[in-house]
Amino acid sequence: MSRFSKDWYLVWGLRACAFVAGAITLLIAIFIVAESLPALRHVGVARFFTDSSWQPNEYADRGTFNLVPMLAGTLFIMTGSVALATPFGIAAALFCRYYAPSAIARIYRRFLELLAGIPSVVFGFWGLVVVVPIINQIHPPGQSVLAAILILGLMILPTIALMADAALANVPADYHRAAASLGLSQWATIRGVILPSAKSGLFTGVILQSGRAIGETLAVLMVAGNIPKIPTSLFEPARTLTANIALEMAYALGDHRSGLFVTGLLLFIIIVSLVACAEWISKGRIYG
Amino acid sequence: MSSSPLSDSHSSVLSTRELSLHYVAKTAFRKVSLEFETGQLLALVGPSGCGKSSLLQSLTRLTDLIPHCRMEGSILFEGKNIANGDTDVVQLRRRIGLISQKPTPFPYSIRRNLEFPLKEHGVTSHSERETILETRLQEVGLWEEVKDRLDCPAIALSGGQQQRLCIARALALNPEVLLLDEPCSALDPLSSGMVEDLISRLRGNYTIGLVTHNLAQAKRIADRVAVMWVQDDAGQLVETGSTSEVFENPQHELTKAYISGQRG
Amino acid sequence: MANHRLCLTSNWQDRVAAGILWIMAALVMAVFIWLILSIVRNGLASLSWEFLTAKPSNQGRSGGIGPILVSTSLILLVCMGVSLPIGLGSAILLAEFTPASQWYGRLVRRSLDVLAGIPSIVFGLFGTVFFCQVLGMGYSILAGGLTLACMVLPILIRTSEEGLNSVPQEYRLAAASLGISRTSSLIHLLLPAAIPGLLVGFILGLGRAIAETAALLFTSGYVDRMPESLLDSGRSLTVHIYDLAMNVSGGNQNAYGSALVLLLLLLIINGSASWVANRFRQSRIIQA
Repeated sequence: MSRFSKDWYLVWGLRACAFVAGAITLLIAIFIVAESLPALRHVGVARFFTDSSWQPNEYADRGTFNLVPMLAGTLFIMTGSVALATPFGIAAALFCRYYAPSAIARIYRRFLELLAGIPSVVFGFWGLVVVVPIINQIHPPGQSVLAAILILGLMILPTIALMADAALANVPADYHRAAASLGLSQWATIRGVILPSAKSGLFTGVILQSGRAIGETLAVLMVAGNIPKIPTSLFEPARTLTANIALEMAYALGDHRSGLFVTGLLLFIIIVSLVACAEWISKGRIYG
Repeated sequence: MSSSPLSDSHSSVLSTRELSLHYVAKTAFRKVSLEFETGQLLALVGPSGCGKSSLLQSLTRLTDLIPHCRMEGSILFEGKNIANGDTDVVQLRRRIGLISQKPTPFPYSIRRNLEFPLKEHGVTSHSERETILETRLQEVGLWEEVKDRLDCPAIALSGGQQQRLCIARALALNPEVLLLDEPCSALDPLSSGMVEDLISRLRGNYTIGLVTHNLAQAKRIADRVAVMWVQDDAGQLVETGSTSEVFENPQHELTKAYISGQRG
Repeated sequence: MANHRLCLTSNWQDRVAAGILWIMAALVMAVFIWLILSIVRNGLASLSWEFLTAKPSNQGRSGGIGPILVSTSLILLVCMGVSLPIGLGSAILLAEFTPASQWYGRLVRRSLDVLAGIPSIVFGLFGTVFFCQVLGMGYSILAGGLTLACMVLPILIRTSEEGLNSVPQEYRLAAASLGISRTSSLIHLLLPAAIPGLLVGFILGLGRAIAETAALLFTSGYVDRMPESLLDSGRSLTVHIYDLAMNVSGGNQNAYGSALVLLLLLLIINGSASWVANRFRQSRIIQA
């Protein structure tokens, strides 16, 4: 390291920037935990899973704090949307890479990139004014788990497709040549050689988007109906952990508000674990 | 007769004493004691991997930029040991210039390529910079070719022109020593010849260290030759002497084998 | 990205697979086109200079979105103005000075990975506690902008790091061998050379910030008046769409209009990103 003092100032200035960037995560963790403590103490962890319902109150003993309906809502909606988006996303990626003429593939990919940037509130709005009425005609009310699955699935699809596309691009060209020299047909090559070798990249993409689905607030808030009860069918309304926070934060006080922070803490933990999982699978090459 | 490691140091502006360079996983070279006689051109030859480039880089402390790189021994520049911590490496690198194998002009115009280092080293007067620019470009034989397009991007020059520009850029800082790491190996034969002629002309005015794997080139333009080889997993200095001594009367058997093309 | 047309043998399985994939890809595209056409067709009716500059009236059912566009711009200004220097500084440290900050660099990178995965509603919770309460900013544009800055930081740092890493190593070595200080080579050589990559990152971050809603709900507030200062509360375009869709009956028309404006803004932003990326690629080709 040179003794040039200009450089010395520079490095310490840069270190300060990096410090701030790194400190933010710590700050978030600290504050979320701090604000959750009152509820964790007064309500107790067990009650978040065993109370009869979610009807919280400023004072812990005057309300009920069962988060299970919201957990169920989040789980069903996430699972459904990922189950919907993954096959279509991978199909779109395969289409772009192996079946479409290059002009169409280029346009399709550009379009996917644009779609990946559409705000969730726009998806939610469209879901509310177009999709929900349609579902309402099949089975009222329109706002339901199904609506949330459809809209959320649509939201995460472009990113799954783009990540899948990147994973497919990483498959070495040698594999294609080897398959061709063995006289394998196109679909057999894709099914037997290419998809398996892109497995870790595909899996990582799916896990990351599951995390995104769990963390999504606005779109599900607008179309899922927000009744805090465990949904028993696709057509019933549901409320997710995220919607729970968004809906009640404006007027929550005391232990109720603290309970919402507990919800946030739960989300934080779930998603950080998912990201760690994804990183472990791809061995740090998430963005590669 | 190979020169002894501790010969007259007042006739060599730059020399090393038992210099070793260690990377994380291996040693680049071990216990090299080399003299760069003032005003003469020393050619450093040997097969690839014997640490020649690393040696040049260590002379200007560029190896400081490599993580976990460790130097042992000393480097004497004008009598002072520059291998230790309190050397001003910025000034050092002005006085010992290093040209690398691949021509690396900056993504600026030709003019700015030369002016930028000058400004950095405190040449504030515009007219002074212009004078230096013209002098050096003439010195490397580029002036006539580029004087009408000094503000065009340096990237647009041919490989040989770029390399000569890089040499002019280093010379603009008025170094005492010029180190060149295989300056011709990335160039076509015509440009290679031009750069070689330039280097040959610079002898006498500058002390020059030239790494080359081209033995014929060494024989053509060097005053002295040092031969390195990989022994015990690290580069070692095998023999040094004047060009005629080394080529006509090599003492070490590895030198004999290398010169005659049997090995390396 | 190369398109591998696998010219392999073809049988009925191949044709069925190809057919299915084409259908799936087309279906995906059809749904997205449906979405976009909905917004465009319905929103076009509202689009006018009047709409873009007037105040909202009657709770937003009529009138325009002028103050909201101003609030949104201010929030974005705060967001990018804060995250850009910190992000760039961190990226420079990570890309150029890694040996000097090894464990430090690893720690920062890890916490940035976590930061990138945190859901937006949790950022909203953090923002409302840290910026609005602890730092006393209340519901304000400043608080909203700072919260968004935390969200955008990981994207900025990652893309800036990539931009810097794409500058050829030879430049650094040549500068060092001419005795140029690292500060000077950074300012005069490396950063200018990395500008295209840095710009793409900036634009991506901007696009992400514009699309954000949940993090702003409880930090920048709901007020739809023209803001007088950064400490005033102000609503962003996304929050406005949410309010019109969910809380204001009959607000759908203006919601469509706002959604269209939002999409157009994103289109411009994304378009700029690819234009910059293309120019960058072209200038490299000319130089090579």
